[in-house]
Amino acid sequence: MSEKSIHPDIEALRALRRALDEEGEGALLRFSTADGAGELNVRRGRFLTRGGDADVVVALGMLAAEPAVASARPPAEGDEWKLTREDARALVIRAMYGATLSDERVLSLSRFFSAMPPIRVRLAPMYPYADFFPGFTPYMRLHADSLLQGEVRLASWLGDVASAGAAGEKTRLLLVMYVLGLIQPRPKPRPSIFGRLMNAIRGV
Amino acid sequence: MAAEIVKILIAGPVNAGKSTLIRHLSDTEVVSTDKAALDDVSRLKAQTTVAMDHGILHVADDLELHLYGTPGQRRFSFMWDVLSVGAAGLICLVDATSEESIAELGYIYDYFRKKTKLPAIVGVTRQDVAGAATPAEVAERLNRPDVPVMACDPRRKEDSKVLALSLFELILKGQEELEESDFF
Repeated sequence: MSEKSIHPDIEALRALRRALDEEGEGALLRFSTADGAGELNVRRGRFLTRGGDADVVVALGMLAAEPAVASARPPAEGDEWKLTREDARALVIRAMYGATLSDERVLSLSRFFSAMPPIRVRLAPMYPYADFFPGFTPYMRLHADSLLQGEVRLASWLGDVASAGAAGEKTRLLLVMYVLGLIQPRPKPRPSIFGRLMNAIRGV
Repeated sequence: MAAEIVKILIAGPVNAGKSTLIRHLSDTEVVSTDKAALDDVSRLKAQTTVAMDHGILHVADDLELHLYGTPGQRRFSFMWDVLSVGAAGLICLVDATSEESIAELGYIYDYFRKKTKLPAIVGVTRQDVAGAATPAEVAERLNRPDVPVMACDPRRKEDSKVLALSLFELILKGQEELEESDFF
């Protein structure tokens, strides 16, 4: 997918996604919106912040609501407390499900995700968040479909909705999955032994 | 030329669904070593595996997947060592309606992890029964947040396939065969 076709919301979340990547170097994400300004300090999958838990949630909510990440640079030293990778995942989920998404925004994001090439869904231990993650079951279903079919076509999945509310739920789930790195491009088929075994199991 | 064989272990306490899962993934008749249960196991099932279950999925002339189900009882644990030699991965099943099964899962899982370090995944069965422990509760008991734990009904072929495919996904990830490139 070319840089030109990136949705502005995804553009805003891309730095957060990369910063949350365990192998990433980390970043200080500065942003400003109509509601105010803030910063997120993220390093190797962890939030480092001088604020409290609530501040991070608010900041993430703003990130989700406004595509306004202004800059990213390596985090400063001397942070007062840390959140674990598991905490970071929980906060991303809470923020995404707490953010306001207008119908227009849902439609715009749905179009963007629908235009994506086939994806694969990565398995991550998301069950600890099941109590406050409404998308947990659909995520596990998407993962199963990804394994059984070798890929998931989001245009088909997003098109199969009964209401605007359902479309909003699917969009939120895809945003969570994007930020947490659970969506990946479908790998190019390679003649590996395990690839052949997986194809054989699909056909059993 | 002899076919290359990839070997997968299916372990777990008695009555977790191991034999059923192997039957679903095999394209040949499964070889079982069932004997009449004599002790507490007889409350759960009439017969139980005492040595192994063995199923094969023929991929091609040059490649086969061999599935080995281990006995669920500790007194046959000598077979766990025998069967784990050369395995590529481990699927653990647990009966979520049985406190004893969940407790035993911890012992079995630790046993294999200490001896083999195999990539492993846990399938939690009987989720359709009221009061069954959830995958999250089983994971908490296992106290290994890095281990994938997922609901699975081995009676459903699709569930069995998803569990096996998830294990291969883990193995591939470990071998860094999957591309980790970003979209944008």
